[in-house]
Amino acid sequence: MSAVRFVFTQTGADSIEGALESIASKATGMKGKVEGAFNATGRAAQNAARTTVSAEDKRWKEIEKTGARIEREFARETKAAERAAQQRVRAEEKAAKQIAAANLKANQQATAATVKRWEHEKKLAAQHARAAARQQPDRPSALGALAVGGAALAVVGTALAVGKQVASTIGSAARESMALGAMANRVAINAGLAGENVDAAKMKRAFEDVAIATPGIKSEEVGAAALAFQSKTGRAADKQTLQTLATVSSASGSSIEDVANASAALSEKFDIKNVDQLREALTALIEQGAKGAYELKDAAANYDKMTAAAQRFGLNKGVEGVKVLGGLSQLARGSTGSAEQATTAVEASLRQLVAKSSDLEKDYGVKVFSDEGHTKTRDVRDVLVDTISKSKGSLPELQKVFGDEGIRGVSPLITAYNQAHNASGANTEAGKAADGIKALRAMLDGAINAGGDWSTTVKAAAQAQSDASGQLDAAWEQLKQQVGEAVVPELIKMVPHISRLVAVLPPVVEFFGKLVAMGDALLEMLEAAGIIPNKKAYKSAPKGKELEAVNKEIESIESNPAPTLEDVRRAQALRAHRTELTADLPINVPKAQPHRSGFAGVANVPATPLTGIEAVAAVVQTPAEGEAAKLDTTEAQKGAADLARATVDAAQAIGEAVKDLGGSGDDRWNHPSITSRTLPHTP
Amino acid sequence: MTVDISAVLALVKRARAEFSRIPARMLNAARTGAALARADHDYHNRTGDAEKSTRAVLDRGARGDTSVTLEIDVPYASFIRKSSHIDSAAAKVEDQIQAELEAIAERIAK
Repeated sequence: MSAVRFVFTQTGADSIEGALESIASKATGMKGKVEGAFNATGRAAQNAARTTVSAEDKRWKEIEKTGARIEREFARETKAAERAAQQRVRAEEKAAKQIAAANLKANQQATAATVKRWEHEKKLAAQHARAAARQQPDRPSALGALAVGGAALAVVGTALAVGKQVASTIGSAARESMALGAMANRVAINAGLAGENVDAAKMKRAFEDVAIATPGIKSEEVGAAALAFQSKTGRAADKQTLQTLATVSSASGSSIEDVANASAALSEKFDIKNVDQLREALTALIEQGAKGAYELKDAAANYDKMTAAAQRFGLNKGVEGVKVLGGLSQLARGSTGSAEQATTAVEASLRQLVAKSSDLEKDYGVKVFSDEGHTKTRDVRDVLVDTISKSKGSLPELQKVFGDEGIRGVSPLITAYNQAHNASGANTEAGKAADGIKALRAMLDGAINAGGDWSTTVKAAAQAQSDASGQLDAAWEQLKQQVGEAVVPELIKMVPHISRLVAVLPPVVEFFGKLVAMGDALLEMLEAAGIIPNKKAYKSAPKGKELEAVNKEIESIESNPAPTLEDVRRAQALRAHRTELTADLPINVPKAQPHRSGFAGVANVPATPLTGIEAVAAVVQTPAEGEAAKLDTTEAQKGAADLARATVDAAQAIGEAVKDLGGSGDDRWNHPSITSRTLPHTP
Repeated sequence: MTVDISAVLALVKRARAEFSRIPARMLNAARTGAALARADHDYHNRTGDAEKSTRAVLDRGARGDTSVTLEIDVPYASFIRKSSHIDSAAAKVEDQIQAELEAIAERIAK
């Protein structure tokens, strides 16, 4: 005879509370430690700036090597460019004198352009001198040179900012790298549809290489330019073409996407076949823009429709056609209020020449076409000179020919003709007309043949790229490339694991995201903590399969609602064996837990030492920062790793506890599943 | 640099609040089982002692463990065990406790 009692017991709630308190206290403590370490980093960097020039890390050296190589190339190109520049200046002086005799205003413009050119050359020479100075063997680093130059605090401050950015945004770099991969993939897909064979990985690498070699240009911008070029031409731009676009963008200040759009239009409408021709054409447009007011960015925005008009007129193909159209644009821009109006004016003037070809021939004997069938036009320069001179520069007559819109495109030419004609000292009308024609041709030649070659563009790009922000952009691009290669594949693998973890412990995961902000380090920590199984290591472990079998058998016994005494003893033996096995494995697998109901074994978990954490600190490196700063950053990284480790500890504990608490969770938590099975208690 | 740990602290606070509710939730489940056993049995309630001694008792053990006992506290309880349907009531108590704990777990992890 006895009473009947059923006892339901929950154990381990205190353990969970302890784990949680552990999180709170460690997080609070480490928060202060990490923040203090980062602040100390900042102070150390400032001290370094005041006292000495900090050393550069490997990435800066690599960038410098690339920069030095480019500079050497520039040096070679500079000599040739200087000779060409001298010849060009002499030619321009001669042309300026000729124009001065006929047209005072034109002379002033030409003089101003020459002065602008000299200033440009002077700046380039200064740039070259600085570049040469940086090439001295005992020179300080690029960062150091700037610091010595009096900008120490500012530069180191910038470097520190970048250092912090790098330290805290490797994840951001990874995301950007993934976005870049998507762009490269899109180019490859489009190319495939067009029958081309483009390797997405190589294309992505090309984007990154171009961005690294062109400080100030981002790899995403290169990718966008490649897509823009491809959308207009149907062809995938190769690396050399992309590098050309980036250099032109850097030299001209236009966005690389705009340059790509303009290049695509030139390539299609003017039959620009190869990179050399493209360089020549773009250089001509840059030089024309430097002398006039119709800049490359204007060309990029408007060349689509203007090249179509030029094609309809029958303008010459190739680089020569580009130069002529560019020259006409410059002239039109001088007499209109905007680049768009200049575009419309050029379009209209070309259109009107064809539309009024019969009238021109009948009234003035001007032939627009070179053949009887009217299938081929003469050189537009000759047609314009003939039209203006044979109409004697009469504005009403020319207005009839060119119309309201078109007359604006040629009005500077008409003015030049009339001024030269009127100022001519010739006694005859023919002589005055000849002076007018001479001035007309000089103005056309000046606008069309603006001079300059690719080396000029490269030098201008180098000057633009030499500023600190451009260099830092390049450093960031390089980091992004490396992060992309090392981390992105791992992040992709992590995605399913992260999403499952988020479902269980969002606050802790969010905490990870905010605190650690480092993709590969997070992965390793999670693996080290056993939250994400390191399958590779697990499977490669010699005792991994045996451990799996042991785990399965233990689970089988524990899931038995009425285990026999023999079962219990067998389970105890298996758990002991599992402890031995796990000690040999390179991963942190669930440890043997005492068989308790409810929150079984939670109390032991936070105290379990983790493996592989040392590797985490090694993974988190801060590039692009001086030695002094790096030392303190390392301390900060250690602090972050410690905090992360504590959090992982506690997160693991909570995760397992929560799973046990509700009997829920998933099989990822591959540890003894103890349910609270209460048997009738009969005293 | 500022490290935001507010989400972690909120998690701890939320968990602490949920854990404090465990004893009451377990006792409530056991009381429900006891009421069920008292209301539905096949034995004759001649003295009323068996029915009166069918009850739930809360016990906070060491280490913060929580126990509730569903019992028929009369010497002859083992003789009326089958007719008391106490086993059925105990199973329901266990299910309810499990459900409560699952709910707590979900609220903590939300």
